[in-house]
Order: sequence, then structure tokens, then C-alpha cells
Amino acid sequence: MIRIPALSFHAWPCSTRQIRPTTPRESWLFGWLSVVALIIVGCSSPAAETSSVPLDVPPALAASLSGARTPAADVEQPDDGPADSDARSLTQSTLTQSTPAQSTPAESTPAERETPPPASTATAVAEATPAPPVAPNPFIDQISSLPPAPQGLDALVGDPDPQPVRLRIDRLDIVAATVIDVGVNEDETFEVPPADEVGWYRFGPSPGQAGSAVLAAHIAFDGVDGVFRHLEDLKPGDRVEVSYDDGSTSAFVVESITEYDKQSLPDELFAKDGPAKLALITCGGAFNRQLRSYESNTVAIAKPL
Amino acid sequence: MRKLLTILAAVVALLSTAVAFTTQPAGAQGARIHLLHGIPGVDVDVEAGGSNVFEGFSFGDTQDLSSLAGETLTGLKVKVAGTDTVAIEAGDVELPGSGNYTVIAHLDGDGTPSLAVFENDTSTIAAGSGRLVVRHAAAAPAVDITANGDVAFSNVLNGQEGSADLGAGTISAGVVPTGETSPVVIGPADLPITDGSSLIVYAVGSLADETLTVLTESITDLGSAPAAVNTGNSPVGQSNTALVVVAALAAAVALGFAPRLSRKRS
Repeated sequence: MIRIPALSFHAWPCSTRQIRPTTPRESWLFGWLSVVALIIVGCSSPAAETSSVPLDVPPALAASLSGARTPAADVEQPDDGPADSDARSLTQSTLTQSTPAQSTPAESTPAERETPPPASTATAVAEATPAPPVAPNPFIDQISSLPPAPQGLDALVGDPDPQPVRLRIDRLDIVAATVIDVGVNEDETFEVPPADEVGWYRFGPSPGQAGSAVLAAHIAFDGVDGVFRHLEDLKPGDRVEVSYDDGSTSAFVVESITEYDKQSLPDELFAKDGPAKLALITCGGAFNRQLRSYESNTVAIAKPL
Repeated sequence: MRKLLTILAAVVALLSTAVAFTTQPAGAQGARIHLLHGIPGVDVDVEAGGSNVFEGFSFGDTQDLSSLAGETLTGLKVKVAGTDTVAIEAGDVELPGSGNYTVIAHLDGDGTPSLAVFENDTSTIAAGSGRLVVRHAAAAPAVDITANGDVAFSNVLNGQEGSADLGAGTISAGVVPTGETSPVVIGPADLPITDGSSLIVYAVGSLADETLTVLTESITDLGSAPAAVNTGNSPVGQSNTALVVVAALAAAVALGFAPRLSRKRS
């Protein structure tokens, strides 16, 4: 016996009352035919719309729709051939045709399932009944789209930001020190310019852009005072001005002055993202006469005004 | 008691820092896996686990599969969008649990759609350098890749890549048939070599169909800070100054006391 779970019936005009079964077997058959007919006719119209899957249905919804069809196999399990086969072939003609575009669910058994209408029947029956929960496709929610890959080689190189060309720090009597862009030496150390210039690390941001812009200058080189000879005299609140190659100027305010062991110079001073800040770096601390180098770096951090 | 507590707190803080460091294993974040559509002119639906996982995937689109690191995509199929026509039947694809990968749907040397998996080099790049990776994913014969006029990678076949770390800056790159200098089938064009980044360039499309072009992706945050900032090679004598001041003060004090002492004695 087909077990159809409880559902609400529409009050449809019932033509079965005009037809009288004459034998017990016919009574039983007709009872079931009428029930099935009621279900099909009562629910086939809305079911036909929802069972078609246009291509722009979100994948999750499409999956749940296709998933919902699989229990049709359970609901539809034929007992034994003739009665139910007849039921299917009879109801076929009363069914509103639903779009066969979607893939049909995997179902077991009889030949009549091969043609779309019986499958659609099964579909309609399945959607008429509350479907038991089906595990959704395990991959869908774990895949997310990313921005598309840039196509072509044109315009991969963007417009550079304005570069710093001059530095002014009143506290240190630096009026208009020349700033040049620098990189690294062969040994990957910072490429420091001559004593009378300031080097801007060209692989980091320009002062004022996101990240930490680095300006470094000598404290002293070959006996000559460097531009940052008195950097340690800076105080929080002191003003620093940077002029750029496009004629503009930006002001910064000193926040901190810190001395680090050379080996412990923080990598964050060369961060390429994060809040905009300016790192002024020179040498400091004890001078090692054998190595002709200082043991520390003096670092002043300034934030945009 | 307070001092003891302070010392105890300091010790605990030190230990916590040590523990935090040692429990931070390198590369424990799982894999980064991107799926890239590298076949021009056809939109596709991708099916896995028995149904479409995304649809209308266009040339150049990228999907992030990183959440599936270590899992197996069952029955992976790339189908022509809106149809059941299978362009690539990949079967069950086991995704790596760690590492950095790009899976590209592309045309192989014969023009057949296929999936290629490239592992991306995320090793640290020296300060002042960037990485250039060029991948041949086009229906085209072997090529040479030129940089600033010289052959940088030679005889690169479909499915292969050439990679080099170069000084940061701009280089002019082009793609020519291997052993030839013309025609330049892709480029020449300026490529940015960015400090600390890897620029990955895919040659895609079909030479025969005249659809050869390029897709790019970048991996950033691979760089290093400079090894040191050596901003001084001669002393400036701040400590000397302090000594002089102290010595002067000491002398002044001694001179100041001396007359009193002599007066006392006398």
C-alpha cells in the first residue's frame, strides 16, 4: 500500500461521486485512484512552476530542489505491478506538463519511469509531500567567488604616488634637506645616501600613504655630521614637513623616539599597509670602533597631521 | 610581598610569550586554492558532489576553494554553461591540505580543455626583489619568454612554468615561439616587478583561433625588510661630552672646597 503522509486537501468538486464501483476490488481501486487524482490535480499547477529550474536560481536553492526530488523514489516505490502501474498511466493524462529541462532524479525500477511525464509525476508527488531532509551539497557553501583575474598586460603598471623630495624639521634646524629614493644594497641592507641627503625607501609607501614610509639618514659618516645627527633630540609633538615632486607638502607630528638594538629593528617599520606613518631612522647608542658601526638605531615615529 | 608578586608576574609574562612563540607553527593555516577559468569564449558550470556548485563561470573568473583544503571534490566536472555537455571530466579530485595552489581550466597543447594544477612558490623574497612566474596554459607550441629583450625562459611547453626573482622595477616582457625572435605572440608589455610580491602571468587561449591573451594573479606579503639600516660609520662623542661635563664639575667642586680646607687647617 502506498503510504501518503498527512496533507491538507483542497475541496475540489469530486466527480467520483457520480461513478459507482460495482465490485469490492473496483471500490478499492477507485478509492485510491481518486485520492491520487485529487492530489495530482490539486497540486500539479503550482508544482509545475516550482519544479522548473531556471539557470539563475542560486546554486543552493537548485541543489535543494534537486535534492527534494530524490525522496520521490521512496514515496513512489511500487508495491506490485498492475495496480500502481495503472495508477501512473491514468494520472499521466491528468497531469499538467512540467518542464522537462531539469535533470530527472535517480529512481529505481519500472520502464514507465523513462518517459518524462511519469518522472514529472513523481516530481510533483514528491514536491506535494513534505520532503524528508536531504543533506545539501557539501561543497556549495564552502566555495566563494573572488575578483576576476586581470586580463591582458596593458596597464599592469599603475601611476606612482608623488615622491618625497625635501624634508623640514625645525626642532633639528633641518630647513630643506634633499630626499632621494633609495633601495637596498647587494647585501640587502638599506641603501643609505651620502651624509648631506635623506633616503626614502622606494619599496615602501610614500609618506602619507598607507603603511610605514621610511626616511633614513646618517648620524655621521667619515667624520662628517649626517642630516640626522641630532635625531634623538626630537620630542613628541615636534613638527615634520615633507615636500613632494608634485609640489605638494604634508605635515606630520612626532609621536615617539625609540632606540633599538640593530638586530632588533622591528619589521613593522617597513610595513606596506596599515595606518599611514613616517619612520625617521638613524644610528645611535654605543659606537663600535672595530666594526666602525653603531650598536643601535634611533627611530622617531610621526603620524600625519 | 609586592616585590615578589611583581617578579612573579614578570616571570609569568615571559613564560607566556615563550609559549606563544613556540605554539605558532609555520604554515598551519591550511591551503590557499584558487580555481581560475582560463578558456576564452566559453562560460561553464562546475559540478561536484552531484550538482552544480557554481554556474556561469566566465573567462578570467576566480573561485576560492580554500575552505575545502584536504577534502576530495567528488565527480568534478566542468560543463558548458546551461547544458549537460561535459568539457572536462576530472573525476574525484583530492585537494591538498596545505600550500598555495592555482587550478586553471585551460586548453592544452592540442586545444583540449583540461585542468592544470600549479603550486605557487611562497618562499620569502629578498628585500628589493619581486618574483615573476610565467605559465604556459595556451593551445600553442613551445615558447620563449623575453625580459628586456633577452630570453628569460626558453622552450616552455604547455603546462610548464618559468620563475625568477628579479630586482624590483619594471621590465618589458614578451612571448615568442621558441628559438625565434618573432612574431611576438604576446606583448611586449611592461610588467611591474614589485618588492615582496609574486606576479603570475598565464598565457591562455588558442594560437590557431587567434585568442591568445594573458591572465595575471599576484601573491603579496612575501617580502623582507632590509637586513640592516647602517646609518653611521664614525663616532659623534656624546659619551665624551658627558665625561667632560662631569670632570669639569668635579674640578669645580674640588677647587671650591680647597680654599675652605686650607683655611680650616690653618
